[in-house]
Amino acid sequence: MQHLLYSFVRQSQLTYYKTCCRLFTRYLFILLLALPAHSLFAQSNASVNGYITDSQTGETLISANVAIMENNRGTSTNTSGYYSITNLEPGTYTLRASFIGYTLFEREVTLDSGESLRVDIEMQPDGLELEEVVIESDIEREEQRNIGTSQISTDLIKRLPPVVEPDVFRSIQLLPGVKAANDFSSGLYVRGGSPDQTLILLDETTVYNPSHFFGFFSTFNPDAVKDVRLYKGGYPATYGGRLGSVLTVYNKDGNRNETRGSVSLGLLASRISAEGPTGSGSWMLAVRRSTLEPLLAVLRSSVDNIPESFYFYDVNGKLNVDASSNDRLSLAFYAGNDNVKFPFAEDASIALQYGNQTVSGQWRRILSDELFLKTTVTGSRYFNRPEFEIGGTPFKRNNDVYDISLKTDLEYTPGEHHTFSAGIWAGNLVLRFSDSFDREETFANRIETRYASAYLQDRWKPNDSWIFTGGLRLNSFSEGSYLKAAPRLSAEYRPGSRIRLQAAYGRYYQFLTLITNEAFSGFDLWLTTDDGVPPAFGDQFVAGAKTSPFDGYAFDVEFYYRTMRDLFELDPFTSDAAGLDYDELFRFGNGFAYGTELFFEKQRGRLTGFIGYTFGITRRKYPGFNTDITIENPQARYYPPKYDRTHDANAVLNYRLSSRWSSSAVFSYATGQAYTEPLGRTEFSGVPWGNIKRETFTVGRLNASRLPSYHRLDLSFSREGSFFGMGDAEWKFQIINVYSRRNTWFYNYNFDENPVERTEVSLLPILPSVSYTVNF
Amino acid sequence: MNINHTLFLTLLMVLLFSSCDIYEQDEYTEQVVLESYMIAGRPLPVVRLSKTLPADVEYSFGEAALTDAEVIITKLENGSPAEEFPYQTQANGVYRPANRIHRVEPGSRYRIDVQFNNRDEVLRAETITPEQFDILNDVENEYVYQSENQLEILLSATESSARQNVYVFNTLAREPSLENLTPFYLDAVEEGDSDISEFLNNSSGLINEGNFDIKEDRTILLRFPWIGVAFFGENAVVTNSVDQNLADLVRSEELQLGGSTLPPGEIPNLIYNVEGGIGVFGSISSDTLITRFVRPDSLRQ
Repeated sequence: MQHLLYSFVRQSQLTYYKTCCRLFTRYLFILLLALPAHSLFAQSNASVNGYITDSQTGETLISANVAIMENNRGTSTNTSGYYSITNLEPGTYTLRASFIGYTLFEREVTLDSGESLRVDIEMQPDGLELEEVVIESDIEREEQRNIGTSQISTDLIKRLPPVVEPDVFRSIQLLPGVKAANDFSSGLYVRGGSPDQTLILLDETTVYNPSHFFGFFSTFNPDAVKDVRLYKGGYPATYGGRLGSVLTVYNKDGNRNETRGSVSLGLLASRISAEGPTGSGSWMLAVRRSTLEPLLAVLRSSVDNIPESFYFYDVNGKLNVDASSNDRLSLAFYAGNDNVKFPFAEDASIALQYGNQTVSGQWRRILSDELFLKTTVTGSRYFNRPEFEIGGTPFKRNNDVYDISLKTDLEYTPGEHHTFSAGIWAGNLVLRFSDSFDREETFANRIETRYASAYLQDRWKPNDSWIFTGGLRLNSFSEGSYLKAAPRLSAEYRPGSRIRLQAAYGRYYQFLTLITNEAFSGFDLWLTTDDGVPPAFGDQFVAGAKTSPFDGYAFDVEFYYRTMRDLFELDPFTSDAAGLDYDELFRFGNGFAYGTELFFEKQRGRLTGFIGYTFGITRRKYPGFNTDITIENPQARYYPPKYDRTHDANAVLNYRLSSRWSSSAVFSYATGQAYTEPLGRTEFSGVPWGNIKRETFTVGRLNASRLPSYHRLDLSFSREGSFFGMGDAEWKFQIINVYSRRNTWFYNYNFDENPVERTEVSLLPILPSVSYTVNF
Repeated sequence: MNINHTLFLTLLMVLLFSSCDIYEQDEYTEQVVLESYMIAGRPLPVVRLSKTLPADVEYSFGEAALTDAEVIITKLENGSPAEEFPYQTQANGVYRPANRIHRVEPGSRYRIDVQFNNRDEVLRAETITPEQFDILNDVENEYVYQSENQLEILLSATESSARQNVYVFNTLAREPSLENLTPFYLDAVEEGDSDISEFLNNSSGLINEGNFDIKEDRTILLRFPWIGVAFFGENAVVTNSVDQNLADLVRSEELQLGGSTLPPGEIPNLIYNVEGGIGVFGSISSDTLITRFVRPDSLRQ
């Protein structure tokens, strides 16, 4: 009977899923039929379109701005570096393109009636540091300053003083609205959300555990990365699946003009990369590996409990082929692995291996001057394999995530007023998890779910002052049979050339939750919704102003308020999952966050950089948690999670000292993290097993106290030179935590002392390092 | 709107938001602590009553003990009192039953009521004692430590009102000495991380029934893990079935010590199933076997 019931439920889910897929297909088909019909009415007008690339490397430039100056028509390149300006009257125009760090491009183009002119633009890099005035019109800065969006350049990532390695995530943590859990974690806490509320895409592929060294820094190799963009909130209908934010990372396509390479030697990790042209495209390969072995060997001879083996590596690669002038194909992959073996006591050892692999194949086609199609097949795998053996008793865990998907995005630009986007994303997700204790399997779970989403979006620009972007995203998830509609809406008003007022609203759903620990990300485990475990959802409201008070300066402000409902996460009181129903593993709660972000940036000159400040509040509430034990029938109360910081400020300054020497400084300040102050204590001495007294605290409001404020100054100096005439070289000297501020991570309580003794566990001390990079 | 206005509005909003954050630390509040554990088949247990002390002062039960309490344990049948067992003071903060004959019955519901003549608090809690089970199989007289031949325990089937039984295993060393410590525990003692006394009664954590091989006749077969053996020589291996109250206390106490998904520094209160105070009124049923764990040849001197 149970088997029959199960079969029935599975069959129902399958039927439901098929219905959803059919609806999506029909919806896309109607859209595809409608688009060419619409384009027929615009045949008498001309258009200009093409790719914008770096003239030296041939890399496509994402979000480069392009405009027709005479009629104030503009747009920006999409994530493929493609632009299209349609519905132009025949005539002669000035086509202008701009991108930060590149010389302004201008060219006169003459368009005949009905002509579709292909203009592929190659932009000349000019260097950020030059005292060069570049005149930009207000329409040339479209994408970079959209609401809730932040960008960080790979140049800046490499220039900042790194902890161990230049790191994408640690650089992003400097942006307003983004916080770090601590010095040891590269996890992204965006606008009051936990790290699993940020969708992380590498070349359009979901990455499930983007960390090395158990969270110490991220998997993205700055040598391989081309574009990093964070949609902090109020993100558009083109993305979905996470409550809070989206981080898109695009790897380089590779140099289309010449073969180049780079070698970087560091004390703890080294990198090598190469790129070059193929007959009709380009390739790129970047490898990074930790180089801790010599240090471990030295330590092993004098210090106990040094790991027997401890390394990580990652490999990024990409191959691009231009099949025709309108068709581009690419294949990208990433593979990373962390490995540690650690005999930590007599007859006791731990071994952990974890990593990610991603692969994506993409076909980009210019269907017409108005239609751009991008189809991507993605594959992503995450695994971890912790093994303990203590006193002859082994414990093993196998955890695998497999995600295979197909996504298609279509952009349609019929004229100056509308840009339509539509797409589908469907995939199959398998989560496998098993525990064995003493060679016997104690827990096994396999979740296979199909997911599908479809969106439709219109960017409507009725005049030069207003832009409205409205969209709807449908999300379906077969595990639990959920179908959810998520509307998105944003508006922008430009009262003058130096100010843009923006507002956005969006509904967001999340079908996954991450079980992790702030101190250690090597055991991360993803779980999904199911019957009795509904998806989390929330609304985001964002308003802000983007201003340019002076040429070369920007001042932005954003306010946000967001809700988080039906949050589901592993119940921390669950000490043993065996024998529990799936929904019994979780606790379900709510939360909210609000705040203000200020961002002041100097974009040009010898001195560049930014100052970001965030005022933020975030709260959570779970039934039975953070109750008042002094009253009868206590109710749960909202509390700040540990990463709640009221004030958070970062200053990043880069100064070119001479033609060879440059320096960078990063100063960070944040309100101390929330922690729970023990108020009372008692002991339980009669528990019928064990010899020790169980000494416990009583507490009041959870996380109502604050650690001392956090602040830290990092400096780096770099000297550019030549490597025996064979290539450019750079020495980099850096000091992390210059004045050795002993910031507190948490307090540890030692019950062996009476009264109980409190000790501080500190974060990073002063940390000097040096690296040498050769570009050939 | 000019930029000065934007800046002004921004600062105003920041000040407005800042003033809304009124989440402040509570003051310390003294709590009454109840502690008592019923063991099926044994006489009624003692009851310990104390108060919490501030976290930063020296703790001793003598300082915290509460006197002048009226304690009654009541056996309930179908929710109604069937038999009452009044308590009397045994020592400062420790109360013993007047009835020394009654044996705690497995699978039964008991209630405890506490009130004080010198305090206002009134405490009440209930427990359902786990069903009695037995170890059905014969065990060998000795097992070679970390050999293929592992101690197996076959537990009888029980009719539990709970979703599943929760077990704790503990090993009581009969021949404890430094020389008899198994390598892992010896290392912990020699490194100064632990004291030998901590391993005399060596226990597992809470283990759900779902971990074990449940046979068709609902008996449970389990292999005793070698990690549970801290001493060579004769040991008593005790299997305990734990009630919900005690399981809640232990799992939340382990969480308070850290190591879960909670970040370091986030310390929740324990789960107390006691009205009017905190603490535990728990119960267990248990069975014991005796065997010897002997050194393998590789560990003989």
